Amino acid sequence: MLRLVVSELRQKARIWLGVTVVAAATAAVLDVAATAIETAVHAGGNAGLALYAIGGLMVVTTTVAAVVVLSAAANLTVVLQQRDYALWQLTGIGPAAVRLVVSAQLVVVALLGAVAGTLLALPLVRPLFARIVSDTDGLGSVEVVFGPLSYVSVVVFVAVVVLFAGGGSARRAARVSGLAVLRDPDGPTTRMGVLRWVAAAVLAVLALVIVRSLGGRPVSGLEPPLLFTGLLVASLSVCVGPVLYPAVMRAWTSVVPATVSSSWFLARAGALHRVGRSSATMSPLVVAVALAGSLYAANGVAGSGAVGVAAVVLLIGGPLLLSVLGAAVTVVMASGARDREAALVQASGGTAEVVVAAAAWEAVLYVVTAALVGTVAVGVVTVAGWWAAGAAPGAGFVAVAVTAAGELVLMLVATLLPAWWGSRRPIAGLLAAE
Amino acid sequence: MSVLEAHEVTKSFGGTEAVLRGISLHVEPGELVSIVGPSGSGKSTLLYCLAGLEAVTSGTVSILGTPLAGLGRRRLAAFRRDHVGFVFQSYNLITSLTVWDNVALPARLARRPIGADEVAAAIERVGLSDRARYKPAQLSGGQQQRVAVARVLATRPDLVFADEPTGALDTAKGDAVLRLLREAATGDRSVVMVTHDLEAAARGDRVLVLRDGRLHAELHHPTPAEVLAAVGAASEAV
Repeated sequence: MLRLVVSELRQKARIWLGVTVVAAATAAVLDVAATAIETAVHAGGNAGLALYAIGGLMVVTTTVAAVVVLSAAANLTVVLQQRDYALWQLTGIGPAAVRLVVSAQLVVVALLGAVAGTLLALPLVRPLFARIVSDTDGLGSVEVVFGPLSYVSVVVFVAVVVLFAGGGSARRAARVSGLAVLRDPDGPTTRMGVLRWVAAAVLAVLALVIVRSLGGRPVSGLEPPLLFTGLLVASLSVCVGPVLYPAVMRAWTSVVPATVSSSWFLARAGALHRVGRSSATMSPLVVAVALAGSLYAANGVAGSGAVGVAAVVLLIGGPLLLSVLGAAVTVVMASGARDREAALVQASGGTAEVVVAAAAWEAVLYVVTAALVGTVAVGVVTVAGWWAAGAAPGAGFVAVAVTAAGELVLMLVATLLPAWWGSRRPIAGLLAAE
Repeated sequence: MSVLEAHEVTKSFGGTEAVLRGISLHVEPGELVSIVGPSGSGKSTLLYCLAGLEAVTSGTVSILGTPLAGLGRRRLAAFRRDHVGFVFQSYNLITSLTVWDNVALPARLARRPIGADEVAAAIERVGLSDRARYKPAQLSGGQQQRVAVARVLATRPDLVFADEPTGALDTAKGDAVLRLLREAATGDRSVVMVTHDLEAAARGDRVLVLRDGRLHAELHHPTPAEVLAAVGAASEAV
């Protein structure tokens, strides 16, 4: 069993890279949070209390984002290996053993990623944290502390988060139906289960309750509930993602005729196909756009001055990093399957340029769709703020545009590099029967 | 003019022993040529070299009088698009496209206008008119293979390369695919097919038997028994 765990991890390294990278990034972000908490313990007094609040907020937001992104990455990892799980079962490895192997693989990559992330973060955490708190009143003189207990705790915590987030995927791997998967390697279209509808309804009601409670509040106290409203609407969008993302993507892309170019046609068909089967790439992008937009929209309504870089880093830096990184790695993870598609396009007469252009269009499709969905959350925050405070600043939408531009750069890198590399691989080898 | 001419083609991978050792052959208009041979004899490698999907180590391959070695990546892709069609054993179709879009893809890539009636006619010929809006995952293996054949029927390339087109199919479905390939080899258009199925190979106008990277025998309108005997002799010689 141990041999199977290790050999599969080595053989499918590209697929497992996603969970590993997100685990590493989670550890790096949590190292900053752990620094805040350990520094708080040493500082004590008011400075300590302030640092506890900062560290606690970072742990909560990062953990929530990590669970969302890791669940998506772990789910995609399982989807991409469904054929293997089916073959395992056909060769006599039972569902319980499949689940055990996948869980063990999750723990191994979580530990590897967390240790790597912490090692990379070690030399950076102290100066970064010192730089962030130096602008904050009362914290400029605190001695930054980050010791072995903190980083060991972070590594263990990340492993637990990965196992929790990937638990559902391990169960799904065990439930893979052999013959069905061998026939349809891409897996079925994602459906909205009852749990998703219930969660969506709960989130909608919560958002409504918070918005209704805004009336009569002082303007200066509107920022936290408005930000929370944005997060709830973003979570609601993620919940209904399996039906929402394809619908939004299909709607806005239908404006551009399929005859514009072959690359556009292929990208649209490919993106719609993939987004209908997995939300792994879209959800992190939506969360990132909604987070940044909601923060700036809420801040604009409350009129509490410009949001500084330090505040952005402390409040949403971790989740933003995890979200955007998560979206990018899921694209890289799935690029193996695209290589064969690219080879087929080239065998059918498409040039390498068509393949690369299609990859670029696909990045645009994901980011624009995510921006449109994320804008709904920002729109709700802005309208709620206008209703409660009579002001509707456009700062949230500017933040959406800036975040989407950043996402586009990263997604272009994530799609173009594998596409360029794949377009240069021998077509014959990719299309030959296994 | 021959549709395809290969002269003294050799192929080796990374300095290892040559997989193909000086193969010369030609394919005439309207011919269906089968290539058979024992496992490891270089059948698929030869097909990919002939199609320009794999670069030859030495020798020349010309399609319709155009030497493939002289074309760069971009011009080679354009040449394939305009003159060549493929039917592979698997990974034949783009999973995100419908049957209709898969069939129309080469014409779309070529920016060559192809009428809806031509696409519909090709799909009808392979008996899948009621599945035109289906995605590949909703089709059986045999149906997917027929879609791949419909693609070459719709775009009518000068030369079709088929790599084990019946390898994953049962006898009845394989027979349907072979009948369509046989029909595709008419007029100026030809088909080159690699197969391990000797009954299928015997459908060819000519059967080329490969052994150890060399052309071992050439049979004209053989019976399956004659193909079997030739392949058996090639296997014994190995």
